[in-house]
Amino acid sequence: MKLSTTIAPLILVFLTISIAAQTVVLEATPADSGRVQKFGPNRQHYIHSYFALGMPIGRSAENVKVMPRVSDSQFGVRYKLKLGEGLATGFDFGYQSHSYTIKQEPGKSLFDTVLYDRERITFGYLFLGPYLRVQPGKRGDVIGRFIDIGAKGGYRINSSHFVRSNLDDGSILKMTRARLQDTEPFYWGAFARIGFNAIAFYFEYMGSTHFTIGPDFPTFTFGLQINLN
Amino acid sequence: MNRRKFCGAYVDILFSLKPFTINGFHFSALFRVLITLAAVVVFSAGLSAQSLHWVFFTEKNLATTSPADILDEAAIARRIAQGIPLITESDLPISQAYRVAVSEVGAEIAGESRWFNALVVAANPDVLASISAFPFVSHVRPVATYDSGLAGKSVDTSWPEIKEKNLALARMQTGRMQAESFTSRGFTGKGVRIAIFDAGFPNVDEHPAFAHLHRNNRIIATHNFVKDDSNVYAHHPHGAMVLSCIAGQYDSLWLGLAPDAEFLLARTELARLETKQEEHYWIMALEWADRMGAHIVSSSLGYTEVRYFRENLDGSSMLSRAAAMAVAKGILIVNAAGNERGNSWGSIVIPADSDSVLTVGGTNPYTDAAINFTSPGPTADGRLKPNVVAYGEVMAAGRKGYTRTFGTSFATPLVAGFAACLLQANPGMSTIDLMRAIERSGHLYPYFDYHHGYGIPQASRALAGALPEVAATFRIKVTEDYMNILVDTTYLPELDEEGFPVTQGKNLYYHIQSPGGRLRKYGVVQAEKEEALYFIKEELIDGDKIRVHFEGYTNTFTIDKGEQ
Repeated sequence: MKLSTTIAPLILVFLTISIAAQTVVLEATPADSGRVQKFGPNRQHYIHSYFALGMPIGRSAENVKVMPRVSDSQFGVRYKLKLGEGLATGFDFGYQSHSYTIKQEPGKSLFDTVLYDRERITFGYLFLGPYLRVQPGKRGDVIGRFIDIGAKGGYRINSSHFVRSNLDDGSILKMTRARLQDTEPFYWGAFARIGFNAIAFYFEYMGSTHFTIGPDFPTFTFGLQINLN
Repeated sequence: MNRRKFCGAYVDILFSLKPFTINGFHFSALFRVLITLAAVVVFSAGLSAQSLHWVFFTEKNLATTSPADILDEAAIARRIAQGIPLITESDLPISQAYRVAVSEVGAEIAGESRWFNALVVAANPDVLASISAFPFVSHVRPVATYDSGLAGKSVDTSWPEIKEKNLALARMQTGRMQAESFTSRGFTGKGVRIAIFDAGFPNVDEHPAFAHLHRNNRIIATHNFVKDDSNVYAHHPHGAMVLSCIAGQYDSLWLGLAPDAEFLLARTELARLETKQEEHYWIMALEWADRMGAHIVSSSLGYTEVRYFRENLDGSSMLSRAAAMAVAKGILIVNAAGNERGNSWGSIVIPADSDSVLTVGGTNPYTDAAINFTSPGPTADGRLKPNVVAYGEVMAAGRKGYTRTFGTSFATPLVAGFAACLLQANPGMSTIDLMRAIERSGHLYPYFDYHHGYGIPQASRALAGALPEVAATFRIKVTEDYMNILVDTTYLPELDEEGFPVTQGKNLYYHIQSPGGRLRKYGVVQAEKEEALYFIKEELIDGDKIRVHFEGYTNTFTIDKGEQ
């Protein structure tokens, strides 16, 4: 029944007019412009994709210091349900990568104590993050200013340890180990975002650890999110 | 001032502190800078919108005022010509006592509207609360801000001269509106005053395209509402390009229809990247144009989703209401439909939704049908928009030389020039009559649709005041199941040996109008065969009107299934 009510008008429009092998310059079936839309940046429902890049904040354990480089990258889809003029909720779903570049200095002891030219540990997660959004000010059909507070949970789908060194004989050592041992399969955390339209700065706290034993990385991330549509 | 001091102190602290750690959390200088940047980006975007408010007053101090004290001679002449009262309450200045009271509680006056009896003030929430408590204050509301809404698609890749291949376009942008019918009778906009609202008019005081305007003192006044001074000959070149589509000159060729009109140039837009615009500039410019005696306003600006939803396209916005008041005072507002087709907004812009505005869409010069970006109507309450169309791709004067450019921004001044010529021909014509006359002169009239309105205004029709007699160019053949539209074969293009048309087929326009009045479907096809179009009868609804236009001839068929 539902299918027929959806398709019937389309068939009707298609059948009503047929153009007898002429060049079509314009064809328009105007929507009811006065009807209140349910989907849009400031409508009842909204979905958009986004990507994010962030840096670790805070100190990691002494034996696994990380370089201050981009460690967090995300690509996700965000759903927003408008609850009222200044309040909304929703969830993010996507892929998140934690990739830490390890400082090569004496005292490093994660996996081994060898000092490489470059060493990187990466974790990839599928995540789901419900959030609550507060939006001050009047606006039209745009996202506007907002502050989000939310929680986040993820399932690890990949992990790897990469090292690279230029050896004395001129050759290059490159090694990647996947499916790291002693890592947590799940992670959880919380986040806050402050943004305007397509841009948001986010602050993320990781409540769980990456490893089941031993030292871990900084628990805070600060970064920038940009909407893609 | 306090805010500045606070920011300065904050920056000092930000950079003087060394990195520190609390509970293992490391506060580096970089982190503090990023946090500050985040706060600035988010809140600075909102501060400007919230700091400016309209303060509406309950009544005016009705002191006796002579029209000559507040209106230019041209404004008085316009009102006399149209039989409009010389002065009404809405023309009177805002009470000085109200200004003083508002200032004394700490608000900074940033603008005003006599028509709405309102001041624009910059004030914090406490001050606004004090103002709202005044017994003479009706209500307070934020000044609306918008996306930068210039309705031009590309600007200013200027060439010193118009190349031969572009000269045809330069001729046709006025020729398609039958410029010759106006110029041969001496109608060039003389005696008509046109105000242009835009983002800037750089080099208009030096550009050869406008030399005749300066030579003949045709630029009557300028005002920069953004900076509150008179310098408009700088900033964004969009306004100069728009002006050239009314009165620009290249050698002996006019780029617009009203080179002898008088001009009021108002800068009402900032037009930087995504800069928010404030509605009071446009409204203040409109009132200024009224006082300065403008007959026509050409506004190639439009506002969309930052402040509005599409269902707000019902003429109720403050800009649309101001446009309605302008018509009551004898000013025709010609506004761009916008370039939103295919964008998220996808419809006409505000204030093009106003009943009182002549909304102009754009056509593709090579197909003579709607250009791919022109905003379609109708309004949210189903009224026809745009009203008419003109070329959406034109040759215009750029910052230095001449440029080929796109946008309903440039269709708008072409129609404004048309209106000026028609008004010169009919000096006493009321604004509404002028608007209707332009609609009736559309090359498609009485056919209409939401992309073309009534089509491209035709000077011969406008001057004659009547539609030409046109023989039928198509006929309808009704069979048991179909309604076929058969065009006169003399209008069909020649075919080559393989049966393909050698030239482009002529446009056949059609729409289906529901019994409620809205168009359910419409389109344009190039007729290349005798049977250009057919409708399946079974799928049409009782009371539907099918209207078809082909080569100047329009016919309407009403579906009455009871007769079948």
